[in-house]
Amino acid sequence: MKTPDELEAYIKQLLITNHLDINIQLYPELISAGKELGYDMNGLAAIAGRIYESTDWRPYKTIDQLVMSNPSFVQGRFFNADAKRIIEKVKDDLTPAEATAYIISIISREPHNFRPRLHPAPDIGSFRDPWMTDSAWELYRVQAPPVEWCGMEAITTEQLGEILFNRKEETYPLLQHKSYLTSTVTLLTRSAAIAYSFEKIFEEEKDMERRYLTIVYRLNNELPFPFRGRMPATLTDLLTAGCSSQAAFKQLEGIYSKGHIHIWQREAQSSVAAHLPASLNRSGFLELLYQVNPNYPFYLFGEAYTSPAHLVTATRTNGALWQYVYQAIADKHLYIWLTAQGYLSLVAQLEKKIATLHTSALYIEEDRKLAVVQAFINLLDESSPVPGIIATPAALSLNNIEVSEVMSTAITFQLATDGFVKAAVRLQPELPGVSLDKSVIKFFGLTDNRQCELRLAIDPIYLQKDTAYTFDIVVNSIHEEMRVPVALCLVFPRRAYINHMYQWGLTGAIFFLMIGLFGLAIDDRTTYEVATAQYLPLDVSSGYLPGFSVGYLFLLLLLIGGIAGAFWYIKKQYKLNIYD
Amino acid sequence: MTDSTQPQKHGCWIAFGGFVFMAVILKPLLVISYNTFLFLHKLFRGGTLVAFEVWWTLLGLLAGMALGAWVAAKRYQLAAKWIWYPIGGLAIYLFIFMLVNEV
Repeated sequence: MKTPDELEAYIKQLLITNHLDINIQLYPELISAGKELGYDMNGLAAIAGRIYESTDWRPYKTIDQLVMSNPSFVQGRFFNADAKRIIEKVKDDLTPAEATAYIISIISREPHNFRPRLHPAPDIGSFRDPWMTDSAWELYRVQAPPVEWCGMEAITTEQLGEILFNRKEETYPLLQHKSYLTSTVTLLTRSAAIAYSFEKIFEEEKDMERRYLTIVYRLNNELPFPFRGRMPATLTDLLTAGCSSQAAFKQLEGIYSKGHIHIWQREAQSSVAAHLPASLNRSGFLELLYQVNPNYPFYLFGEAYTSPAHLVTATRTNGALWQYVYQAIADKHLYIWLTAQGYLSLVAQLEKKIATLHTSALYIEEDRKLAVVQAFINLLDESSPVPGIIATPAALSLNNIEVSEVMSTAITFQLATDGFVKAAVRLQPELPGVSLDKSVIKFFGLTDNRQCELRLAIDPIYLQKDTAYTFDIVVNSIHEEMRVPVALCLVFPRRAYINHMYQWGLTGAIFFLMIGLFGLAIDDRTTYEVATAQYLPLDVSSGYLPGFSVGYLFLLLLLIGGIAGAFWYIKKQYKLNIYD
Repeated sequence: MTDSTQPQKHGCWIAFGGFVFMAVILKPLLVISYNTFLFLHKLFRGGTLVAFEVWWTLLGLLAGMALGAWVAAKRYQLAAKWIWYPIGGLAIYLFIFMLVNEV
């Protein structure tokens, strides 16, 4: 059962097809539809009258005038070119389909009785085939006999183009040489200029597929573009079909790279033809894609991303995607999509960031790629946290540390959020004897590289004891700078000091004891005799020299040698001073 | 052909001169060494209670400690005072004996 709106649309359609005049009694289905809605004949007539009064029939009257005054129509013929001219004139008021339907209703009704000619399955809804009266057709067949191509007859270039389109395999051999097609076109058009334009195609296009497409679409520029078993009639339909899957996208990109779409659009003289990208690479393809519709998805690594936010969400959770995102950025493919989506300022910011990363000495090539992708994520999604680093402990206190050897203490750095970050680590201010075992730390949350340990080494030989030192471990990344304060105070190494004194004291005591015992052995005088003995003058006579004086000379040399040897040994064995 | 007899002649004269020198200074050296140890015996005289060897060994201990303190001070960047403490102790030790005993 029709609704009232459907009934009115049906009545309007009948008015159009019946040249603004309708005899309700000739349409029993209209009467029964009206009865279902409670309308009798008078009611339906009133509706028809109301529709007639409320509709602007001027474009239809214009079509009437143009058709009647068309020279071909007067001769009993009506070609696609004639229809196109009329459709162009009323394009502001009627769609091509509405205008075509009305023209057909004019020429096909009594007394004109035009019919579509020649095509084995005539299309009564379009001007794919020329429309002629019976008498005009008989005359036309005599004046311009149909030409034959691959067993099919054609009387217009459009029909010839359609035959070439439908019989591609049989056509190919005939397009190896220009003579077959050129002569056929000459017979059809009876124009040397048109035939020459086709002859030039053979000279300009050496690639068979390109030659074939150029010829087909020049013959009939309304033919669709075959793609994966479908026949999209417009570029938009073709690109939409190409975005339906990764395989289709790849195939369409391949077709684009061969220039086939350029040929089709150029020959069809579409509005896009003048704005087709010059390059046939992926960048050109993406430019065309997003020029037609910025909302087409962006394919990356086999997945379709409907928006940049969608891509960012996937990138944040899939580490395998990062290299592909980087490559898309480096090749500027992502820029094309982002620009089409209105992210022009983001593209400028990203380029700036990349320039900064390229000049930074902190990154090697692989790290730079990750940093670029991280920058892309943070720029696009401002709500996502920048990769942050936290330290454990957050501050170091090394006060009253008694050290005598190099000591080291560990600080653990962790990735607080997600993503990639690389940071330079340094001490500020730098102190002699204090060093870090790493100057760079790197984290990537998606590969579980979230933690790293740094060791702070302190060599006490370079630092004054009982003196407070304060410095910071500065961690500097492209996103932030964090500091770990360190308080350091080395105290007197009591144990080491006592140890050294004990070792050397014992050695000295043993050495002196040996000398003393040896002296005791060689000098047998009593304590009283020694206490009252007189010093010998230097010029004493040799006879007064006691015999054990030789032993004393030896002991003296031993004592002096021992002390000198100790000094020599100490200087040789120990680094006494950092400036030695 | 080189003449290798000249260095041998010089070596002989040097050895002869060395022997003469040693013969000349031997007696003064003997006297000095005798007097030195006599001085040390007079200095570290402890009567009949404590033998000279004990004070002498203690002297060696104090001298060794001073040396050890010097090594530690240089190794660990200690203040100079940590060297002077044991040297001061050594000096006081010597000073006491110099006060007590006639040398």
